[in-house]
Amino acid sequence: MTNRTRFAAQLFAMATLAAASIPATHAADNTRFVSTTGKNSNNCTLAAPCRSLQHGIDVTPAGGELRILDSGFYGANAVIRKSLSVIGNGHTVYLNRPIVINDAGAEVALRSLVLNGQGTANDGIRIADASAVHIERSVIYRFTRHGIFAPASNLDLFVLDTVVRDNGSNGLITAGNGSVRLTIDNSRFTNNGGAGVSLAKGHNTIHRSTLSGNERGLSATGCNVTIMSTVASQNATFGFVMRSGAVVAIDSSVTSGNVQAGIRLEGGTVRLSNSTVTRNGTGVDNLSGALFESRVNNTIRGNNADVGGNRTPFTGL
Amino acid sequence: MSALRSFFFTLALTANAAMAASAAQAADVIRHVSTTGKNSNACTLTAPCRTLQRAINLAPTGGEVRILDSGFYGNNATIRKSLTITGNGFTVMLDSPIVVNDAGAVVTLRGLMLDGQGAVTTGIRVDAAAAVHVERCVVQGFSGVGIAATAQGVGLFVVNTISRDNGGSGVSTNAVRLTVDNSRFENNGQSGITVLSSEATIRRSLASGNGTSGIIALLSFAEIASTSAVHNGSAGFSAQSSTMTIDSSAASGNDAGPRLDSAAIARISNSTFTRNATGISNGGGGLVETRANNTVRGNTTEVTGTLTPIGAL
Repeated sequence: MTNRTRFAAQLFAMATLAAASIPATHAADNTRFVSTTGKNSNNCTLAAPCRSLQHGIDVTPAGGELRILDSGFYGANAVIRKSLSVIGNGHTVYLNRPIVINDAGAEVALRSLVLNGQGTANDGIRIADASAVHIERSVIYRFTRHGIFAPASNLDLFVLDTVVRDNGSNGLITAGNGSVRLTIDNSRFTNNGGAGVSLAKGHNTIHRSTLSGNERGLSATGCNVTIMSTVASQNATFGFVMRSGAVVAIDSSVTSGNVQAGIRLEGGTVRLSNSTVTRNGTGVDNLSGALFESRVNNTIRGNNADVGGNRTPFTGL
Repeated sequence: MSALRSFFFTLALTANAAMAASAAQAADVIRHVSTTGKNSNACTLTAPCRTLQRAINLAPTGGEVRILDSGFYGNNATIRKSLTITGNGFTVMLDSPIVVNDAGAVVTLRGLMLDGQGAVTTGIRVDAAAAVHVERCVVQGFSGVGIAATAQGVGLFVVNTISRDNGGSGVSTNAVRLTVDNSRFENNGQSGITVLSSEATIRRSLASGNGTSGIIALLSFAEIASTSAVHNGSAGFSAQSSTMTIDSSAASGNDAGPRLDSAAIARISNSTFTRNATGISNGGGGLVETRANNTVRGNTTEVTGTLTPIGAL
């Protein structure tokens, strides 16, 4: 063999090896694609995407990922019954019905989706059953009812970097009977016809978020809520309204410009620290039977009435 | 000339042309990979390579590899030089971790979605480096740790990143200087973050729904600010033989807020611990210094062990 042919043979061997390292169908290649120009008879590859979101969901292996390639109408339904990531890459997805998640063990991520109900579809995302759901970097708007409706029990729901606005009823509502755990971070719930966030069960955390311009910012009944570094402002009735059985801690937050009250206690307990309550009808409106505990380091000032009802001071440790 | 020889003659010409181009344009240090690429390509935008490893190898030191679409990018991806990998939000699936292994390297991983699909142990593994930046990444579905760094003295910077649904911890370090900002560690089987023999600064972040503790410091120094540790199976903040500072932070829905062992120190100010089984758990006999401005309220047991008040200066 001459040097040159030996070199060629080596090159050829390398090329063969390189080709062999990527088999045509690899076990880990669980990414599927949908496009408004796709066909459901396709294999849902990048080069040959499918057409409907439901078909894309159906052909994506459990634990795999479905990517949206452009904006438009993606079919009547989208029901997810397994662990899956749906990645929108900022594109808008129109459907006739909600994206429904309904599988007890599923871990589902919905990321970078824009969901527009166009004032005709009822809910944006409905979580009937799941182990964990992550909603990230998404915009959910103009649904006639709820942006995110989570009647599931035993659910871990994470809402991050998401905007839920302009929906007819609640931005987000949980209603499960079991131990729901909700974590909201860096998200906005604005201009919804009902509550920005409506909670009735479980343990909930709202961190670095905005509840503004809704009928009410947050309503909580029979659940625990921890609120940090959050703003509830310019809501038509209340910034925060607590009813029977709600135990809510509010820290480093601002409640302002809410027409009736910044914080309204119709029941339950509120513990307020490091926070400002200003320019509301009543700053903190504590009806009889509820408990308003203050760390005595809050600025409750410049409301029509600053505090209605009892205020119970407590000491920091 | 045989057909084979003619083919390789053409290849050689192409290689020469590519070299000429790179010689003429010294600043063109970007290489591209695509699921439709070929490793025989020169990793240009119009002729991208196929595997991440091939593009890493071809990128010059200090250069950049850009991912052009989502999918499977090969068995391995080991980085042995300073390099930036930019994912532009696309998902990269591999059969093994992205490994950084060069003591002097400064490596940036940006805009990558890494999905282990439960089959791969680790998302990002730093065996040796000078500094590693993980920015705007999502690291999910690995059977072990999402981001692991065991390189002595490395600076690991985790910014705007989510590490979730991994079987082990979201982040685990050993002998590392760790900085975390605006990042989330959710639903991992073990902790959100565990630092061992490390220095850690964690700010504006969230550790939620993890199997063990939100943030664990072992033989470490950890400064934690504006961070929430919630809904974790064990403590929100666990200090073991460590010094931990917690400011303007919250822990709720955990087995404990901060928890110390006998050799730990915690300095706590402006923070809220509520609806944990224990608000501040110092039954082990560590030193808890509080600024007397924390809201420790509404826990099943507010405090176990001794608190030592400190004055503001």
